[in-house]
Amino acid sequence: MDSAIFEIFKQYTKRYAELSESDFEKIEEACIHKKLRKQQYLHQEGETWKYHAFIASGCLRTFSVDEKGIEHIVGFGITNWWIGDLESLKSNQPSKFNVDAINDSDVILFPDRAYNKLVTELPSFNKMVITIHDRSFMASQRRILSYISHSAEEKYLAFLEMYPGFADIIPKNMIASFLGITRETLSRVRQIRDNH
Amino acid sequence: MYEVFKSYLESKMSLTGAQHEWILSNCTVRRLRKKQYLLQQGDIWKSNAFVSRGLLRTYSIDEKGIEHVIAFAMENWWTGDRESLMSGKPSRFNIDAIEDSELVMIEKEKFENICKEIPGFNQMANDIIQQNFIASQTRIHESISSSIDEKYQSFIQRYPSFALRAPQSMIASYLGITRETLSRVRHRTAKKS
Repeated sequence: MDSAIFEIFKQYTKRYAELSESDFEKIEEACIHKKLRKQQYLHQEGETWKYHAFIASGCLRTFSVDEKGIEHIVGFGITNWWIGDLESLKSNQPSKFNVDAINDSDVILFPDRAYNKLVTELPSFNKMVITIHDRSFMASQRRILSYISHSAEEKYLAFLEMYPGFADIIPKNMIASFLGITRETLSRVRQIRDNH
Repeated sequence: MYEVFKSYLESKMSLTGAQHEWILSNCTVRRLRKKQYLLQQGDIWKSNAFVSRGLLRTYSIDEKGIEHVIAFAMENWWTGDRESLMSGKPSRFNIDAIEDSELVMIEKEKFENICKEIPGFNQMANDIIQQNFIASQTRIHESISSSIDEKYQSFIQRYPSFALRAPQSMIASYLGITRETLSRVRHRTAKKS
């Protein structure tokens, strides 16, 4: 593994848990570095997802494609985020989703079995994983609340607040898809906001 | 009164009699009458709550006084506000009983202690968080990609009990649509079948 890439992961873990050098050795042995070029797929619909994927650099998205060919973006991930399809991983069923790179990206992949071994063997890693899953769940709850209660403008403002930095990196049509609104509505909302 | 919780635990892990007893010694039972609150906005949520009987909802109230139902919970589900529990901050949500309900409550520290002592319980706790996350992802995906009719279909398929037991106004709120739209959708759905 490229040591600069693994160093990003090491720094990230410090937010959640104290891991020793020997812990990191075990972790490094368990994971794989994958480089993705812009628009390259990490995962495709119909395949079973078998990893836990940490984003060391770049930006990716998770999306489905409906029968009309329209993309629906269910999630974005940037540096220090995790990405993948937990449902497919847990159920061992083919995924409904695609994951691809919006920009050139570096991803650290943990095969599920190796990841679970780390969870069992390293209490700090276990603690970190629980916190991450908690945070993912809480973020999704906030998003659901936004979908059922917000106007288009409020959705966009909530997006800016919940995902600082994303609006500068991610193309507008993808943000519109993520918010479940049309590109035109998003333009209108952004104009209203800029005029304030 | 712990029977439902006991069989739930048995379905998730193998426990010795002593472990069972020890877990239950960390629990308390809370009974709620219909419309009674389990949690109110502004309070800090400090327990894990297992529903052994009844039906509850989690909702927020916006500045216009409109309720937004973010979740339902019935027998063999867990309820509460995970965000307030983990952050120690006041909750943005209310939880109240739609039917007379009974809950098994485990305080945060005690719950964490059980997780530490019993690996099967820890595994269960992890699985619940992950399952909750998966369910939310499914709901998010439907919010942005499905028509209202599809959302309703998916709701009654996945949660047939909620569809039967929860008032229509709350189901409409959960789906993020008005009561009138829901009536129209139900009418169309009934015609088709």
